[in-house]
Amino acid sequence: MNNLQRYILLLCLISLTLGCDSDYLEKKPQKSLLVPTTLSDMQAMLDNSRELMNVSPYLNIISDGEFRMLDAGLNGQARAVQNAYVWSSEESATMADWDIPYKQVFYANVVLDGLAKLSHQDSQEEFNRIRADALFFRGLAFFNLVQLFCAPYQQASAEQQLGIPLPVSSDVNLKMPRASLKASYEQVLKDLLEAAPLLENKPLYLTRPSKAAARALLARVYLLMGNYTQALQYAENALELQNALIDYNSVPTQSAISFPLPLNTVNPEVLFYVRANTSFLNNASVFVDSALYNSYAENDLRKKILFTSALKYKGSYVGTANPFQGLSTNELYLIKAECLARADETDLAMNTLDVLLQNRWVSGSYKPLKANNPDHALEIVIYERRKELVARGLWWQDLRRLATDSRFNFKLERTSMGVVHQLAAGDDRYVYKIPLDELAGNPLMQNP
Amino acid sequence: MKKVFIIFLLWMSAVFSTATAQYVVVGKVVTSPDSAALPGAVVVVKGDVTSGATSDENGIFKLSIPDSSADLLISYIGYKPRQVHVSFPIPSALIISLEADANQLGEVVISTGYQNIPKERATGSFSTVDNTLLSRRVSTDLISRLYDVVPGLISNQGRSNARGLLIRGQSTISSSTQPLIVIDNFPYEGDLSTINPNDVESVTILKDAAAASIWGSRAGNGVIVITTKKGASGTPTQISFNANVTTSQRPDLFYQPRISSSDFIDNEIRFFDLSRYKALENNINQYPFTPVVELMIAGRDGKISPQQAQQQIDALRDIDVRNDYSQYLYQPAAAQQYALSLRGGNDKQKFFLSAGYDRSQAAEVGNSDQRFTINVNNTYTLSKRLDISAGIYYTGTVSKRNAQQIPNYTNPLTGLTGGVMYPYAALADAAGSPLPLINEYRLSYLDAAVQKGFLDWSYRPLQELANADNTSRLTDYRLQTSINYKITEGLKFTGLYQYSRGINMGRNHYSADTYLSRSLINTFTAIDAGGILTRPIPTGGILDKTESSYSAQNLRTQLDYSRTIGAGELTALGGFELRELTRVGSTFRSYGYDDQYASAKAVDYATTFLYSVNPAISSRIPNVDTQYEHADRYLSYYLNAAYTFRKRYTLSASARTDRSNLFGVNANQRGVPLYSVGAAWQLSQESFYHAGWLPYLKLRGTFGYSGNSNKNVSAYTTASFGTRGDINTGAAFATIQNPPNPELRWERVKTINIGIDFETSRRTLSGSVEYFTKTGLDLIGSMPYPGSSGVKTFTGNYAATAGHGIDLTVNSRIFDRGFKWYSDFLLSQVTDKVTRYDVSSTSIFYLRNGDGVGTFPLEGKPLYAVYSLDWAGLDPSTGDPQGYLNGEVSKDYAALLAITPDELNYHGPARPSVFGALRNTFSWKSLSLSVNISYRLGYFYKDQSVSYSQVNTSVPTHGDYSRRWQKPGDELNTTVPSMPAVANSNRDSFYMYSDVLVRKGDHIRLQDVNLSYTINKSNWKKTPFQSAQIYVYASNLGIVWKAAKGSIDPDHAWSMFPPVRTVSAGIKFDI
Repeated sequence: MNNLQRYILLLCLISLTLGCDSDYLEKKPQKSLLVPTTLSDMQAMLDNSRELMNVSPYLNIISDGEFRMLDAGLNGQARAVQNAYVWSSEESATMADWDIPYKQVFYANVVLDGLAKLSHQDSQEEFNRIRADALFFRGLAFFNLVQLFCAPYQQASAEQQLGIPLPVSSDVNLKMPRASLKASYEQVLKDLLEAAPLLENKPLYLTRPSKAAARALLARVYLLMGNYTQALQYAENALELQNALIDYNSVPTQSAISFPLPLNTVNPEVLFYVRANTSFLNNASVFVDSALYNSYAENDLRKKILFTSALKYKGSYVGTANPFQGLSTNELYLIKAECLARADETDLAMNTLDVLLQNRWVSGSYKPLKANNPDHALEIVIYERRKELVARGLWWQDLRRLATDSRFNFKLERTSMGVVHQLAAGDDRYVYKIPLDELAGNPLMQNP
Repeated sequence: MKKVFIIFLLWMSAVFSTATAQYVVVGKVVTSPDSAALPGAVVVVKGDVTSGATSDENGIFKLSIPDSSADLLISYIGYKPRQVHVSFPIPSALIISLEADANQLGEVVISTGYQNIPKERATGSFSTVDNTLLSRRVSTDLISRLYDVVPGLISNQGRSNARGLLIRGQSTISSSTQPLIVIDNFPYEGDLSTINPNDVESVTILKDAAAASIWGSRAGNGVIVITTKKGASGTPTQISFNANVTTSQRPDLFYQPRISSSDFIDNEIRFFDLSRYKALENNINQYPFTPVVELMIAGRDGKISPQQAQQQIDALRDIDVRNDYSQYLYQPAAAQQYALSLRGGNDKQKFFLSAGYDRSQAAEVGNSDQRFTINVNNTYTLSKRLDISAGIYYTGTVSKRNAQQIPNYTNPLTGLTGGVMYPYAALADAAGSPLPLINEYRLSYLDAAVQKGFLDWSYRPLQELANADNTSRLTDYRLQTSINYKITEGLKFTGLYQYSRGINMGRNHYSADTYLSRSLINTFTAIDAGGILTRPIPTGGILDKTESSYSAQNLRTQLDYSRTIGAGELTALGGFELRELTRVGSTFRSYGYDDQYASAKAVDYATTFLYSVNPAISSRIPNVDTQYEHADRYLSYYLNAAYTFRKRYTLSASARTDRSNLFGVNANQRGVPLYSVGAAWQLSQESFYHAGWLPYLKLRGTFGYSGNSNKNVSAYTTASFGTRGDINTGAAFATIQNPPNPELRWERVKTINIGIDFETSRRTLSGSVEYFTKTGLDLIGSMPYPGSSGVKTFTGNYAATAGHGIDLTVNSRIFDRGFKWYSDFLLSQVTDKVTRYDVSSTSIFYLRNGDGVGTFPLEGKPLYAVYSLDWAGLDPSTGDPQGYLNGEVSKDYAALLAITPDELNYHGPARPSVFGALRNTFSWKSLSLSVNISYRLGYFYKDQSVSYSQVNTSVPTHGDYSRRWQKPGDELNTTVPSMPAVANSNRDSFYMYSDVLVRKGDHIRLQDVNLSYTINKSNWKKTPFQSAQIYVYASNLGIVWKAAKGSIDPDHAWSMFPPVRTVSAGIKFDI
């Protein structure tokens, strides 16, 4: 064998033993792919705003009677929308309103589980903030679910009533049963109360929760639970941080959309941005309920700013015709007024409403409200809630929580495809059925 | 020394034989020219078929003859038979050399991409397409030359997901279905269109596990091994030239029946009278109206008299826009091809050089391609032991993609952009000048906008075509080097390295004159109270540049061992392979682009601007910039061995393990060990085998596993960053791709293959029959998860498929003298079904998408299948379609559609389950005619028909509109429902998905004809060429028979037009 041949033989043997380098297979197949491990990865998941985190359920807007849809339009809607529109007790095959909040919960849980594995000495502040963000998102998602799929909260019976599954881990294989309604609300409160002190006063984006947003949401949750003391407390706390109102006299009435997108133009009332996951209100055959429309006084600017003369809605704080379902100062004034009215602080309640409504009426035309008694004050507040918080999904919550209050006996009625549908206060159909695709994989107790 | 001894022995025995006065001939059969022993050769005495002998493993035979002299006939498959006269005493050792016979079954060498093995010893399922068969078809691409000539291989047409090339059915659900393409030993990662078919010597298709498992985890769909031409030693340098031109028919745009313009106009008038446009006239979206609606409005508003309106409308009734499409947007496709090559060599060096140029013009006006290929390949023999070779394969293509979409507009009745254009549109006036059409907004609005200073907003499709400037340039090259070193006798080392890279640069320039640029600028233009315009998107053109590239590196080292052990021969190889594939891409847009100075202007991507038309809509300036970077790495070890005993029995085994950077999977699950075992028995070699009429008979079988990987799933929780910022905030955001799945595995395909190869004497009939089963295991599929888990479906190894089938090849030589008639028949049958898939959908998905529009697997059924609802005819009094609900005739369409999937009619697969071809080749002297007839059977498709939802929204519907039920009695002659008083989409759906529209797809097609005239030195001494040929080739000649009535091509029921006929003519010669 000559030298060349020896060399070649050696080369052969070396090359046959190559490829034992295990690092070779550690290369990421896609650069944009990440296994979420760093704080900025966690932040990026929570910042998935448009598609997921700042999206809310919407069937409440379809059910609550604020808007009516012509038969032609309804024909083309998804089954779940049709069911919601006519308050059908039919179980829907699948419901985005069930799936999306749980997907938000999943993202929040992935972040919370991921954070638990991180050592966080270096950036404790950022760590805490992201953790608080995740808790807030989870609390909000659970709260939204409870408003759709559970009976209204009653202190006395909450322990016996069915709540929702409460996954608090990112393990998708855990099939959670329905917790009690009490436990569900407790989880919401736990998440929000833990988040509130850690949240920023002024986050970089309105799509991230702020301290004021957490307080505002807590005010809403306590109101729904009938805990008016705490609701008042948190509404006031939130207003301490942000109390600005838009003077509607400065809003052009001719615009096709009255309010700008709050994300890059300031909308001083918005505390937290959430867009309902529907283009329902954009549909050419959807119009505001004429009774609601006619309930605005002529000098009430909301009539022209929230609606077109053709009864189309244009007053969303989202900046498009999509419904705004976030948190804003105007709701806080209303919560505060209601809690005051319920605490028999009639004058204070009316004064609070005056602050809001002065910004809603044509300059100089507004006359301060006067209530004869606390009941009257409450009635005025509820009446104003309806007119102020259009397309927020809040009216559905109000209808549910006021069902047991004999002072209010709201009864919904609408005609669709020649059939008259009615929904009396306290009807079982105020609670949506859990979709069938959930039950197929997770045998939960169905709602009545 | 050994050789001398054997010869001595032979001579001795011959002498000895004579001495005993029994004439026993002892001889040796060897191959020519390398004088290797040829075992298994048959030796008989001429005129006496009862006695005969077979040569043993050393090629030696012993045969008694009745006389002292005789004529012996010696034959062996793949070799030219010889007649030898012997007479005693035999003066010297009788050594009979047989010369290999070209174009014979036995000569076929199978190239697996790792080794070349003679077909007799193969245990697996291979199909080889040699150069002659490859050259039969004229095309710029290679793969289409395999259609209808390879058993088991089919290019499915059909709809969306059901389309594409398959070898022996589909054994995966969501992973790639493409066979692995191997070019010169390595998987090819680039664009297949870069391969010049003139550079290809042969193609081998590996179909079963024995064949494919050596390719491991990507071989589950079969492997196509392409071998390019190489240099040849021992022959004079050969120059070859091939040139051809192809012309095609103009596409038939009237293939799909469509509602007449007049009927369409009648509906528009009806809708106008129903005030359906009234509210839209003031819609903020400024929806455009068709000319008829505008004329009706003008007539109503008194701008023109009703008579004038009527007159102008009637003038439109005879216009059919398809005439204009056909004239201005389509053309006969054409192609030219030139290929020049040089091959030669001597015992020190072999070379092959080639250059090819192709240009083609597509059927769509504005689209054309050019391809330039250069192939250089050299092999140097440095010593008896050492070979080194190096090659470069370069391809450059330039593709113009200026063709425009068929014009469309925003249909006001649906509010959707991209609506089908009204049928009476005209693209050009009588003089051929481009005419404007409506597009996004009403013409009156556009005129007013231009008055305010907006850019011209008119849309002229023909001008768009003229202004289009969209070109992509692809450069692809492969550098290959190999070293072959013979370590000792029987042991060889091979090292191979290949680097390949392809870069595709796209440049789509929308000049300032294009509608896209003008409209986008206008859309974002803001106008203030003083009438001052501001333009967030600067005036000028828009330039989109895309760049995508791949680079692949392959390294392989391999040891080959072959040795005679006892009465058998062992061949074995083992090696390891590294592969890395990187893909990088980006898209980049410039606004305000001025091509003259290549200058662009910056835009504000962060701010949201209001739309000028509908200020309710606001948006950021479209940012199409993206980038990606993907990397795949594989590390594989493989072993392959075969032992052939007495030339009759072969046992083979292969094993391979592939590991990849499958993300996040535990190290031990990154890889998949795959193996196969096989056996073959050459029955005709047995001493007890006496079927003289069938001199070659072989049985073989294999069993094994190959795989398929799917890199879209991962074991960890993975998220991916949005390539642009979040729409709400512009912040970086991530989407969770999949929840953790530590159990993730590779897909596997279990294959069993049993085959018989046969050949009758004189090769009158030869061929093979194979039966196979393919079982897809651990397939990636989805599993429904309850929404409360946070995921709706969970992707993992949850699905399975099972398939089986038959491949039959019969080659016959009906006449084989002066006039030759060869007939080649292929028949493949394949049945595949999904055996496990956990996600079920509602019936409507199977009805609507089951045939391939989506992938909705239903357990127990083929992956793509045709389902329907029972049809109970038209209601005689109303013309309503009727179905059966619980056995009763029903018109409750919602209920009819809501039946469960297992209640649906299942017709059969949406892809052919039986297919093949019959190729007849007739030749006489220099003239040869080859006709290929293909057939596809055992499948179903759905016909299109009228949709009243379309009618109701002024979308030009199907031509069945004119055959609709209109009065009682019509139901006897038609199945097309009446027009309903109120639009009902469920009624439409019921009709569309009822069995009245399901058709059998079975058909026979005259695929192509090749006629050639060849001259060569042997039949024309004076020719300066080794050979020269003139040929004419015609393809897509039409359907000969089909099961379904009507004019629709079953393979193209949903295409705008069927494949066009093409005719090519060319010459080729070798010097």
